[in-house]
Amino acid sequence: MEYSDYTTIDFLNDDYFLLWLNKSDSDAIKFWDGFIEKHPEKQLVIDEAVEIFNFFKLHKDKLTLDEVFILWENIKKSQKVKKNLFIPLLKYAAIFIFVFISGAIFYALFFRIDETVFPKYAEDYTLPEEPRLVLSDGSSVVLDNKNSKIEYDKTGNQLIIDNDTIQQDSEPGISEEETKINSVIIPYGSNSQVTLSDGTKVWLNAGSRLIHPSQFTGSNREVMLFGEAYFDVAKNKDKPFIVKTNYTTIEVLGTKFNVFAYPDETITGTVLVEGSVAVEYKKDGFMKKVERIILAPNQCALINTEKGNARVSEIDASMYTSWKDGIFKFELEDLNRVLKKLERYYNIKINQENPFIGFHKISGKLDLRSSLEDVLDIIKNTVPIDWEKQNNNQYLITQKN
Amino acid sequence: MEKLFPENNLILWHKFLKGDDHAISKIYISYINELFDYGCKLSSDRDLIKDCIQDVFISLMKNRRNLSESIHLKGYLFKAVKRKVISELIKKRNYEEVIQSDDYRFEIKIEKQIHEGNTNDIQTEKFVAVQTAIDSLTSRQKEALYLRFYGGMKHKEIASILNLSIQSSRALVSRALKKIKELLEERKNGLNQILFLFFKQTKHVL
Repeated sequence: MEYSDYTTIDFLNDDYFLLWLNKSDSDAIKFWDGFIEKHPEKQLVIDEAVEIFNFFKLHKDKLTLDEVFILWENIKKSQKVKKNLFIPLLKYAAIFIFVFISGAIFYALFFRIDETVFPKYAEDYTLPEEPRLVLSDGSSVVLDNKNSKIEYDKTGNQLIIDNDTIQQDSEPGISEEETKINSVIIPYGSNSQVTLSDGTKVWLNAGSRLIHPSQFTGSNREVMLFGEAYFDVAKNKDKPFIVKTNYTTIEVLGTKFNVFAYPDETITGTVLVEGSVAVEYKKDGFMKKVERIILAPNQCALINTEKGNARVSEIDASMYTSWKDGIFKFELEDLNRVLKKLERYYNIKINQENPFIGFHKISGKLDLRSSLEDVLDIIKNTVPIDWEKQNNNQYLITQKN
Repeated sequence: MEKLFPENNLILWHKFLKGDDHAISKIYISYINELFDYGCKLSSDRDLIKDCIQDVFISLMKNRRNLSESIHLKGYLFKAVKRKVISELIKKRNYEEVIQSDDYRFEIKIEKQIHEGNTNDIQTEKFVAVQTAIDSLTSRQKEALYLRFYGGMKHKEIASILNLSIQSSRALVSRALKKIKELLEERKNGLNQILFLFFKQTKHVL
């Protein structure tokens, strides 16, 4: 039958017309708007169809926010083998408090479907004074060593921290299989090397946090990173290793790569040394699409977290990864960036006499096992600057004449 | 929001099937209120509906390896919830609400519309007229109209949920709409008749 012969009921029974009524498809909207213009004689019939459609503005039976939340909690609780639930666990713990404080704000945050599920930690990214390992039961172990070493055994229950052994006991009431989620938090001035239960080695740079399970149950091996880390991932074809940061998801099978994702920096990136990784990030725009970049060795994916755009460059990977061996390597790098790295590594503040000093380009190698003063002396010999100590933790760089 | 980007939810479904639990939580948030509302049309027992939705999601997560990739997500979830609710009501022998799996009560209530320009009396009259017309439909007709005009579903999904052929679904919706139209016409005519008689009377008196 032709549309022009349609009765009111014919319109209401037409699936394509339904899309126009619901305003849910832009092609349908364009088509029917055009049709109505071209067939003014159908206006009355269509008006009647719209009128009947509008009868079905029904009374809504709704759940309260609490009920919605508790229902989901019950669904999760019934999962015996928890797969990737540790991140949502953190989120739900925080949000539960939110619900009681402000239902309206909770609603606005929680119901935005295309927003990332991870809370934006950047807002409360405070680093503690000393490096710590925070266990799933909430207790924390202070890491005495500035360059600490943490090693999990295969079961994930036994930890060797520098020279001490810690046993993670099961809490009463929680099943053996429940995944224990721990965090290593490294403030400025320290770094750490963590060996996870699957044998993956992670070097954590200063100002970083690694959230990880003590044992990888489930179909993936998933960790969350703030800051910077170098990964040497143990090969496991059946369980991809996934690094989640605030803006990106990096998926690997067994390989060596470096990720930097400092919450206070706009640029986040992944550098591949060997193997193969896929970097996923949200591309900003009308419909927040997820983009995927596959890297080859000696390639770097840089993502601008504010603009949402990305770039892949060919680089010398050792430039970006030498820090794990205590060496900074750079080629024609802005002095600004070098000084920032030194600030993080030594936990001091470097002020600049004028803003142009930072744009000097500098190439070379710095051995970070030296003291900061020695490092600054080396820089002084390379670039026309001078330095002086202002007080306990502050240094000043001035222009040399 | 689901109406604008239904494709996004299918992407979430695929992610869920591959093992992403965040995806299923987003799907849950996306549909929970609609599923609950639908459940409440089948039964007034809120706790029962909540339990049924819970069981549906638990079952989805347990059986995700056996689930199909290409589905209409909303229709699929609605059908699953309905199946669970009806079976629970049968177990409870709640004969007021369910006699057997294809014979059950479906109640819908329209919301009173506030339109500017119309007086309160005209609103109420319209409201009562439409609600009365809808109440006179069979449960199946009500459910079909609910799924189509409140749930925005095409005949393919309605047919699947009601266990009909697509043709039967069209016929069902058609009959239901015809009935509503007739009842509303009758009511209008009925009113006109009363007014007409009234004037006739008064003329006489004068």
